[in-house]
Amino acid sequence: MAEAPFPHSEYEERWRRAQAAAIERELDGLLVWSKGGGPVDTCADVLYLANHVSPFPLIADIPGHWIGRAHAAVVLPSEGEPTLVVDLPDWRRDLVPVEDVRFSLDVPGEVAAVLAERGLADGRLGLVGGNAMLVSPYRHLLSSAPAAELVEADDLVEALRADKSPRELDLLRAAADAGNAVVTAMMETALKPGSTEAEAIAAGYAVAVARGVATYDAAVASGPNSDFYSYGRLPSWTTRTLEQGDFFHVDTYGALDGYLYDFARCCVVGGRPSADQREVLEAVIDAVHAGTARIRPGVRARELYEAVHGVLVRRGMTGTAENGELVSALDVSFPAHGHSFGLGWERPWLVPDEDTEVRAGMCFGIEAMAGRAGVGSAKFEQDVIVTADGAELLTTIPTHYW
Amino acid sequence: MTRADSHSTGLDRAEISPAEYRGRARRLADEATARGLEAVLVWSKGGGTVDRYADVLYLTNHYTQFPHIPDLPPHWAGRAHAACIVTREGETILVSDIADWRRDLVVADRVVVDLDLTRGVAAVLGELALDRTRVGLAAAETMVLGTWRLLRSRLPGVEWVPVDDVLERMRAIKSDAEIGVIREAVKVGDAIMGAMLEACVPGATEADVAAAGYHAGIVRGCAPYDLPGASGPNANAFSHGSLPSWSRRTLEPGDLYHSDMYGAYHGYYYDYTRSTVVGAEPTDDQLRVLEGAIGAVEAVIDALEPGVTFGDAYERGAAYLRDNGFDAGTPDDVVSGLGQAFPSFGHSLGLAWESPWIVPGNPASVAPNMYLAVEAAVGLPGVGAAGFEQDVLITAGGVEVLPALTARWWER
Repeated sequence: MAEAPFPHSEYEERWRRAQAAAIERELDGLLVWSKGGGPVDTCADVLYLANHVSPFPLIADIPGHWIGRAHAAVVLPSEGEPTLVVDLPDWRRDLVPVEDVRFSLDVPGEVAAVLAERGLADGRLGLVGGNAMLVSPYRHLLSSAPAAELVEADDLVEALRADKSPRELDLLRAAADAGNAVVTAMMETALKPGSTEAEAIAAGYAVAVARGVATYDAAVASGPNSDFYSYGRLPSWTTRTLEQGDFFHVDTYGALDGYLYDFARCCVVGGRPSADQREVLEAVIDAVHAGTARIRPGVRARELYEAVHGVLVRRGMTGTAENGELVSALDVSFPAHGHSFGLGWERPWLVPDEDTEVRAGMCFGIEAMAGRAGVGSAKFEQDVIVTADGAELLTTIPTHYW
Repeated sequence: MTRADSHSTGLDRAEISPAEYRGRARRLADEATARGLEAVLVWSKGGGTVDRYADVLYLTNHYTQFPHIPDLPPHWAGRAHAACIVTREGETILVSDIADWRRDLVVADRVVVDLDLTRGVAAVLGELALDRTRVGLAAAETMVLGTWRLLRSRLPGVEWVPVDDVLERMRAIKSDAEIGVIREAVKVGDAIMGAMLEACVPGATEADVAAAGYHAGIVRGCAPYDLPGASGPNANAFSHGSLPSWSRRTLEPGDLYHSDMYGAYHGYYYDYTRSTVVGAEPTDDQLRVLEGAIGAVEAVIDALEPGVTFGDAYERGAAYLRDNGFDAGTPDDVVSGLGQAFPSFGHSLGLAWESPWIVPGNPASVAPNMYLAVEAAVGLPGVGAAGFEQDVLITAGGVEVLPALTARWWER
């Protein structure tokens, strides 16, 4: 990011909300832990509170030399200012809103020192970061701060993140704008027979990187492999040549100023689907549209799931064939039709038992993957902001590539 | 493990045979037995990123590209990860979080699909009557805390014994088949860094340079990891960008520019750094910094031969920096960010960055068939910093430097 995306007052407001949530749980403070290191996947909570992500890569702990590399931690007492612990000296002074920043190559050791300094060494602390903190630095934290009572609080910051401020919504719009350009470049390449999957992704990533996006991944499958979420393994695309009449689908995600875009498009290479292929393409597109049409404040997350799933069921396209054989991978691998997102993927998830009511200012990715035995599978996803009376569509590129 | 046609789907390397994977599991089982363990649980991550996948891939050639989403019990937990259980008999059971694991690639005696990975692991260990025994655990750098809590609550009768060192030691010595893939990986690295340096001209942005590198890598089938770099007034930093690890700063004539570069080709890393001056001859001071980084790396490489310790190799690099007046500065006055952030001259690599590390006092010895990255970053106050890194193979007779790309791009 080129500049701090929020005024200082917005970070102060986040600290106050986090402190209020901590006090409600009878905590003396929070220890918030995230990972950077290049990948975009587990950096959200520290980024939310301190606008810091370490670019230093994740390397194994070597006690005496370094511990907890690529990680960063925020110590936020229930009252007072936060302290940020970073693993590199060249952290961005112009981006981080926290006054008290400590650099150490032993991140958990420095956190323990900060806890002692701030009277929290034997405090009751909410530990946020169960999906980011690795076992090794955790063990070092336990031995460095043996008297601290660490209470699991993984959901605490995530819950704050679900409701976006007006400035956050602007950043999500900008991220989606970049995503729209990225996916357009991918689809333009993929529609041309003779291109490879990799060339389609390269075309999209060229657009993404030049715009300042931190790419996350692009899960691709095509032709005889279209029932896979992605057929490639490291990377999530292949160098397979796309042929006229192949299904092609891509689900791609990346971050601009920390905020994600996350959408999927599908097509038939050459732009002329058969009747069977068209049935599959229209099923996933119509299913997602049914979900976005249902969005308004007060609707429950599970109702959005039901809206999407209902279309697929009615069209006999749930992803599993009548004989029980799996057709579309995500029918088993991802029994959901979307999720909230912002700095990361977050609750509420669109699953059958999620009763959380959708609120204005939330942001969702709504998605479906389905197919028919012998025909292949397609995937489709839209990003939306929940408004006072419905949904603002962020994914504004074409839905039908035929 | 054969490919139907010539295209690459990432991990489809016939050179590394199923027998080689099974041999690895057998060696791990033998080591576990010698330590009095009944089995080993190996844990790795995937999720579309290029970190922390090594051990499960090394044993089974499995990688999950499903992204890392937070746990949502009872729907899923441990997503983007994979587990491999190896019994004393060398039987391998892969627990996968995706239904569409690659039947044509994976080498395992059994594959169990469970969207809650620790639930799947608990079921397998229960079925094998191993849920009240001593089990080795290779997970310290791959398993997240939330999963660790779940694993212990589901298997309270298991005594977990860390065995992370066993696989890392095995992985450090490469087979001939692995070396074949590594040579290709570094060639892709050459193409990526070459494209970046070609694009590194006045008027281009750091992001344009990164985009050129991404394009060159992706069309060749690589999985890009990161391209952390910096330029001009920010050249003291390892990376001035923050998510992504480059900025959109426009390069100006005379800027010092450096970028590290890492990613995977068929699972194996390329990882090296180049520096140059944009659109101009380097000044004397810049040349001193550029040559300083190269000199430090070459001093370490000169020391590498079978039998030398990694600690000794470190001292050779440290002596070079001392003798040539380079200083990493202090946290308040950063001269070379990497010099402080990474007090090391490199490391082994392969399916990951791995030990041995070229750090002070490391008693591990250099051995044939090791694949190492040797690196340094040096700076001078008011000039900026430059980085340099080479990937090398240790042979019976010495060292083979793998990158074909010139060390001194500015001389072209």
